[in-house]
Amino acid sequence: MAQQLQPLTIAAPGFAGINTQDSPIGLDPSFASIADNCVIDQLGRVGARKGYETVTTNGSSVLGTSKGIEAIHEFIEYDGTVTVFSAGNNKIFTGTTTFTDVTPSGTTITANNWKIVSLANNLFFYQRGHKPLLYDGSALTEAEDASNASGTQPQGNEVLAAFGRLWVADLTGNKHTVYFSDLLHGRKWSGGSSGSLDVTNVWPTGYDEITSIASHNDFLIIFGKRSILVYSGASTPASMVLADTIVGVGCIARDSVKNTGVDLIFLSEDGVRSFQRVVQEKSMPMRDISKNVRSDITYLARLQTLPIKAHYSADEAFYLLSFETSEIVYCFDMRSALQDGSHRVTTWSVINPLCFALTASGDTYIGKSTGIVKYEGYLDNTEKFQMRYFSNPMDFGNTSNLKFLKKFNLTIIGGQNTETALNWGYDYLSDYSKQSFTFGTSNIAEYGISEYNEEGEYSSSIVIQTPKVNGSGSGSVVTFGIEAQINDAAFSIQKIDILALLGRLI
Amino acid sequence: MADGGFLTDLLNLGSNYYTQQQGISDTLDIGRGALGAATEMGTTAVGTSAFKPFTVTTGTGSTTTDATGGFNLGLTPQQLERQKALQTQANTLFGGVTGDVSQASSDLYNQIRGLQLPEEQRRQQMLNQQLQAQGRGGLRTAQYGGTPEQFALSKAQEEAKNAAAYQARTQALGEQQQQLGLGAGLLGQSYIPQQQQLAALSAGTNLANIANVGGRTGAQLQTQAGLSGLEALLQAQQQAGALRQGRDQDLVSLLLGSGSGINATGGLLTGGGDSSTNSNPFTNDSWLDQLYDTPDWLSSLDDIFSSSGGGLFGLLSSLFGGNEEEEEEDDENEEGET
Repeated sequence: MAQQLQPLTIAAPGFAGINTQDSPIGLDPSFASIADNCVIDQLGRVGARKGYETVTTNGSSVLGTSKGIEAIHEFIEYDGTVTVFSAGNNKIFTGTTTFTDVTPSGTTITANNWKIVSLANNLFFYQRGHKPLLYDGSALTEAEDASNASGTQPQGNEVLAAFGRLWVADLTGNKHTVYFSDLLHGRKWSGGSSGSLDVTNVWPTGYDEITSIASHNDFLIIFGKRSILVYSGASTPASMVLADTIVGVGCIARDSVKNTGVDLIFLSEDGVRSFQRVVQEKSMPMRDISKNVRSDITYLARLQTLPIKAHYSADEAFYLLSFETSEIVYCFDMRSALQDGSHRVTTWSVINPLCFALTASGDTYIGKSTGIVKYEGYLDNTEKFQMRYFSNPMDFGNTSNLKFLKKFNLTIIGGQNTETALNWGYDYLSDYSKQSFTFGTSNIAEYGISEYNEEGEYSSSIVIQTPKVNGSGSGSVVTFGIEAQINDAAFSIQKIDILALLGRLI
Repeated sequence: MADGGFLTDLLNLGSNYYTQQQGISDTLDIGRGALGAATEMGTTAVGTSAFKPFTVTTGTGSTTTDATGGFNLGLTPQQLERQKALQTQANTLFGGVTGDVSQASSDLYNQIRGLQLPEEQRRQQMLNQQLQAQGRGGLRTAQYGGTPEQFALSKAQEEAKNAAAYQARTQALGEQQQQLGLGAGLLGQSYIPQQQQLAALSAGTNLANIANVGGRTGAQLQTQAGLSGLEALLQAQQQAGALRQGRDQDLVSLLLGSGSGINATGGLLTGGGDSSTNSNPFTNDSWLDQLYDTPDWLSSLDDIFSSSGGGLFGLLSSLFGGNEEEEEEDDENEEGET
């Protein structure tokens, strides 16, 4: 007598993101083993990330053979004038579509790892071993040459504009002192209320190096590599007081520190962490955001020889962490945390960003070898890119029976003209069986409403693809995945229904 | 007596001369005697009223005066030792007065700061601990140099230093003033025994004056008495001279007669007596000589009238020429007066 097929439904597969830390067997099917070039979309599904569109038209001519744009900052003056500054090829540029070289004459620049902050209608550029640069709305100059400049301009690698002044640290040969400028005068480093804070004897671990500075929850946070100092009262630096110290956790990448409004996210030796803001208690509990990919993160972090960059976009609701050396970006969904406090994580490949920037309009600019690109669309500069989703090995709660996958019913949101391949395999092997298919073209009604609200000229606002694929083979543990060549259309995996036949006990 | 006029006149002249000469001689003798007596009285008075050095002895020493009016304030060895010690101490103090005020101020400042430093160090340590606990040990600000607390502490320390410096300066000057006063006091004290000696000398001088006044008064009284006696003696001798002169005149008259003209009377030698006995009745050891203690010249007149005696020329010669021995004595007296 033929057995009845068992329906195995996986709704929103991989919506919990990648999990490489726990044992695959018994894992919740909402975790994925691979979710590359994916994001968690607004409906909690695994979907393709956006692509990028090149903004700059003269990038190749001004960037030459350099890596490309390695720093971007949008500066908005008091009068609303918006100027985008970028750095690459040891030069400073303004503009996005057309780069204009505004590098101060006579200034020698040997690197492009600038950190750019604005204070009191001035824009400041800081990079270790370089004279700070200042843009006051008219020209970019060395800060020490600007009017009203005083004192020795610290050539730090880290700069923070907070509490009405600049805070600079991580100088060549001095990684234990935080310098702060006069109030509202980022170019005045003597007199007024300027000063410095040597934390050599404050580190709880005895010795550490300042890697980054941040302000959060009305605290000044000084990151060491393995410890963190939290100061209160930094609005009056002369009387600021050490409020807390955190031992064993630090920040290993200057540009990994990002404020989300309620969190302060940073990369430590053991993964991505965050300070949660508790206004009333004034305490800052920490969370391990990258708990599910911790080993991967820590491994990659150690491999990096190029700067690690990060980006937070409230519109996209993600925190990106780019490992340039490894050409991989980890994307953490910041909409909500999982029950264990970690965030859903996916990876991006191919895109290889050099830097990120968020504009006031919510756009994400990415620095690349060609110049500035904008995170939008579903093509990587007119090129299709591959999205990959693979589940963890699953036994569907029945560890001892063979499973014969007979049929896959997929529900895909979007995916017009997208070449897709369904992969399945058994017993932890990666020699997947594949079945390719291409979704057809489908027009989405303008404004999502079909004319006269009838089937006819336009389809409905959401394109739903429901391909059905016959399976083959058997095994006790099943792994499946979807590879899609994203072709200028969104692609989200809504649901996967598997019709399987349970076999004998093994 | 006309017939014997010339000789008589000659005799009278000689007798008068003689008596006057005797008067002169007597007067000179009286003068000489008065001079000698006055000199002797003066010498006696000087000797009696002369200053007699005396010595005043007290517990602090003996003060000795000398005949010239000087005195020597002699202190006892103990007093001298004490005076030396006091003066040495005074010199030491005066050395401090003239010493370097800056150095004294510096020394005092160090002493004051030495008192203040422990508390400052305690406060500094407390602040360091507080700052370290607050993670602010390495804080440096342009406003305060370090932290406001460090600034306040440093300011307090500097103010304390300033106050200490001012206090040290004031105290140094005060101590110099004090040393000056003490030195002056010690120096004055060192001379107190001598002052007391002088005071005792004054008292002793007063007492000596009492004795001296007695001596001087005695000498004065003695002189006055001597002068009175001398005056009486002079008067007596003057009277005696006058009496002697009268006596001699009487004797002349007796011998040679007196008066002239109708009032002329003859003397024993000029016919007014017994011619057989025309000899000198005042010869030696005659009753007149014994009665009048006749002078030698008179008692020798017998020789005048006698040939053995040279006769009348011898008499004249003795009257006018005088006795060579007497003349020699007169010469000696005149030289003594000179």
